[in-house]
Amino acid sequence: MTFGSEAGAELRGKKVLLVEDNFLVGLSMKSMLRDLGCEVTGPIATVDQARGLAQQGDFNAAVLDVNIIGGTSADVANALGEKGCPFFFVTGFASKGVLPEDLAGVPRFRKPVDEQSLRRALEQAMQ
Amino acid sequence: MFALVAGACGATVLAIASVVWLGWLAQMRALVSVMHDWATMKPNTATALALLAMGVLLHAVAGRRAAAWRMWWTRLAIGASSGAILIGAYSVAANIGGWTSRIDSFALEVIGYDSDEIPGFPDGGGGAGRLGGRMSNATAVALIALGLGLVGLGQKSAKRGSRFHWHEACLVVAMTIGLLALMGYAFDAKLLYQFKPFVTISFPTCLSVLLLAVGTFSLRPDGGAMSILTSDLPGGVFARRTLTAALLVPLIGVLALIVGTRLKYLEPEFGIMLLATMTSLGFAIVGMATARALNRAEASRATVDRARTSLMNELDHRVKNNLAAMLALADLTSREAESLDEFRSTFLGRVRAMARAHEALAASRWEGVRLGRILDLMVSEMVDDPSRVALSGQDVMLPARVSQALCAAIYELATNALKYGALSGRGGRLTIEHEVDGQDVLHVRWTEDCNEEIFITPVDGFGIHFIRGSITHELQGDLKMGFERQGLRCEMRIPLEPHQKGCADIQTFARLPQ
Repeated sequence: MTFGSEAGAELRGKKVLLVEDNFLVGLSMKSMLRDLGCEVTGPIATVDQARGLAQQGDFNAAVLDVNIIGGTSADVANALGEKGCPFFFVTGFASKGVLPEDLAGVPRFRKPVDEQSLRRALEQAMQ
Repeated sequence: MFALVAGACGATVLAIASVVWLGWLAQMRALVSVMHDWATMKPNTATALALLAMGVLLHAVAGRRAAAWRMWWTRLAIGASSGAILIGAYSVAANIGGWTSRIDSFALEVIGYDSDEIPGFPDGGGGAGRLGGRMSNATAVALIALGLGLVGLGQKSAKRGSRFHWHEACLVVAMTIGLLALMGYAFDAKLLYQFKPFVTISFPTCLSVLLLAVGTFSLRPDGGAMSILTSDLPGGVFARRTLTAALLVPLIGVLALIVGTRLKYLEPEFGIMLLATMTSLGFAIVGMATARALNRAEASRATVDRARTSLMNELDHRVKNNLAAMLALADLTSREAESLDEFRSTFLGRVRAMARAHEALAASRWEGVRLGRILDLMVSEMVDDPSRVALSGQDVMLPARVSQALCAAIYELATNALKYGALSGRGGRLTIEHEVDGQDVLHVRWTEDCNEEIFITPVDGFGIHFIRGSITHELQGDLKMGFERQGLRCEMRIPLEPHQKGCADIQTFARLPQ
């Protein structure tokens, strides 16, 4: 429990952008992130909306689904990268080649994600 | 088709054997050996060949009889074949042992010939006179091989899937002997058919042996070597082409050679060289053509393979997404449920709705579901009295993605109506109107009429969230919900033009004729 509360303290109040086009999955992840103490923007379903938010908003981290309405989240990732905001991908897609090469180094997590791995992924990304 | 070939071969051989017997009876040399200086078919050979031909015909007939009778026909066929084997075996034994008995000449004596002197056959009928009508070893071996081939056919193949069929090996032996003799006649190689008493085979005999071998092979088109030859696979194509070339190229070449040398157009040496070259060339062409066909088959197999891999990836993607959605649903439903029972009923109901939506999609091979079908599945079939639901509007085919999200929203609305609204026990009517406008936007109007004045229609918290999320988030549409005096009123606006999305389940929708 002490570990949990420490981790919770670390993530408390962090602003997280959540991009996920499946409503149920997005809402569930939003609940998990809230339980971890984060302030969540999203879930966002489309490339246009997510890119706009990434360019304007001031986030501590971002969780990105790969395939979203309007294409892939590669553009969103680039916009976040320019702002120096850490992010990672959560995807059900096993095949490579969906995302461009320069995003190959970004951590990727397989759907479905649970609260524990979501917390660890966020902590790693923000280190 | 194959039974017909077998029957034709059997009947032809039976006819040849009869003609040969007739030749001996009428002392007409041409009927017994075709040419005057060629070897003769002996009466006992003709008898054995007739028995084998009957064996082939009986087998062919057995294949068309009811199972109860088939056995008897097959036994008759085996009996006839065994007779031929006995005749062949006796001749071989007599040739090896150097016996002279009257059995060989028996047939000749019966029809009135003296065993040592055959009138009308000054040369002794290619040695026939001296030997008292005994057939050559080569003929005898061919007869035994054919007989065994036919007997082996009668036995149900004991070892299924075994690659070696001994009866086929016997048939190949017989074919080789027959082909060798035929080529001997064609090339005028006298050694093969004349003056050497133990190897001579008459022309009608070698023809009959070949016909019987082909006929016996045709009796089992789906077994052993014939199954390769008759298959639709590339191997079958290869086998057919190669065999055709193997039979036709030398045959045509030999014919050309004979005609050419007889008409003095060709020197025999030059002709043989030409034949060898033609044969090589012929096989090279067949080989290349077959190689191209095989390459094409391999290429199409690779295409199918790639399509299957991409299908597997797509399936993996969808299963993972569905599992993720299911887990999320469990998580979210449990967050709002006040008791385990409530969780159980709402969660199971939602999962069942997802399953029904999936079923409808799978039935359409993931091409999409009609709106009318969705409304039937999610609403009409849930109500005891379907007349309480009025549907109106043009039916439309919805792409997979839209139909899944819409199913979820409609299910939530219907569940709510069944619990608290116009479809509950208190009575009432539900009207659903839908249309697609000029901009390919689907409008659905859901109007509940509760037949009584109600104050509040409760929609449970997550349910309304789920409806809104499915329409506005996943489908990027608009949703208006309101409670009027008669009940819930809900208007949806859903754009149907395909969204640009990385996965393959977005397909163009098609309007259906009314």
